[in-house]
Amino acid sequence: VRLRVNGVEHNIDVPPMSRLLDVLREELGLTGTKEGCGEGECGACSVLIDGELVNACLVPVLQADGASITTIEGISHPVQQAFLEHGGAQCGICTPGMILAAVTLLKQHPKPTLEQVREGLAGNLCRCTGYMRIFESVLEA
Amino acid sequence: VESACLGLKQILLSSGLLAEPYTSDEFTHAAAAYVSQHGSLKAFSEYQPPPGIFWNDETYQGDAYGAFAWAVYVVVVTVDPATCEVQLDDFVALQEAGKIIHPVLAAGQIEGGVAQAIGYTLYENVAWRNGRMANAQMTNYIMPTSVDLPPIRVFFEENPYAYGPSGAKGIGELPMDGVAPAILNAIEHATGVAFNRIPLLPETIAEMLEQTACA
Repeated sequence: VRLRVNGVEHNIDVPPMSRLLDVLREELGLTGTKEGCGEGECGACSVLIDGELVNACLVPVLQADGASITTIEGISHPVQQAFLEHGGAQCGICTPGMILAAVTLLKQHPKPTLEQVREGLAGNLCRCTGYMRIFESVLEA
Repeated sequence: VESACLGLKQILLSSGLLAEPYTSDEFTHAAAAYVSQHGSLKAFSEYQPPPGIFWNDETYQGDAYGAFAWAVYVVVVTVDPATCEVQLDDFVALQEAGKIIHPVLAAGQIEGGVAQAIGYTLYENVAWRNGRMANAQMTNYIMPTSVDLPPIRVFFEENPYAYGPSGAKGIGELPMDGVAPAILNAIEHATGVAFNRIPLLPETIAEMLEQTACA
């Protein structure tokens, strides 16, 4: 398959039903994308495919052939600094996915309300922060 | 840890590689120089209990802890009389944990504990079947998402503990203990029925309310 990941072209020889998540982590060494539940419920493996926020654990790599993919390694956004300052990251497993969801949300709503933040991050589970600091980080970004 | 770090500093000072006052860069260079000369830089320290606290490692008896953290948890709930769904409208944690060293991280630990305890109280039902968890998936083991939680507002009452590092006490466990009783008490206040088990799912509330109504 042919993938453009964070602006770099790759031609990768992998079984077509490999999960995009595994191709990113194991073939390309981009381990910033995390595996949480592996069944599309937790959002830890969130990446952007042609700008759309998706769970990389649910995407067979052949479906991403020719697509442009952005992982956490390809993100540089003020919300990352806000996460650092407001305690938005604790254990870190949900953080890459949360950042991608937050960047997507802030693209749609540059000045989101708290309700929009809650709604926009509802596909990303966090077990250890209680979400409050994540909301604060996104609102302050 | 504090005492072991002071031990490291003492070793570097007496070796002549470091002199006070020093910058963090000078400390790093002195430590690297010491390691290249001696192979390693080590200091050992063992926990010393505060005066009057005795613990017997052989019999496992005595006082394991010199001090405990304290907290008050207050919650406002709405119980839907038709669906018996419990919605949390507001949550306040007043927390004492000695001197608070890092307020942002400390509040984050309390908020995270409270969020987990809210799940433990209202949603997270482990269904056992033949000794195995039958709902070991995020689709059917329900934990709170970003839309399920009330505002969790944390306040600290600082009371430095004389024998803690910089006056601190442990902070992690308490929010897992007090939250379920607070929520169950609030549900009792709202419904007039006392509940004594968790997770308290809507179907349990419905059953109990029906029984009470019939009685």
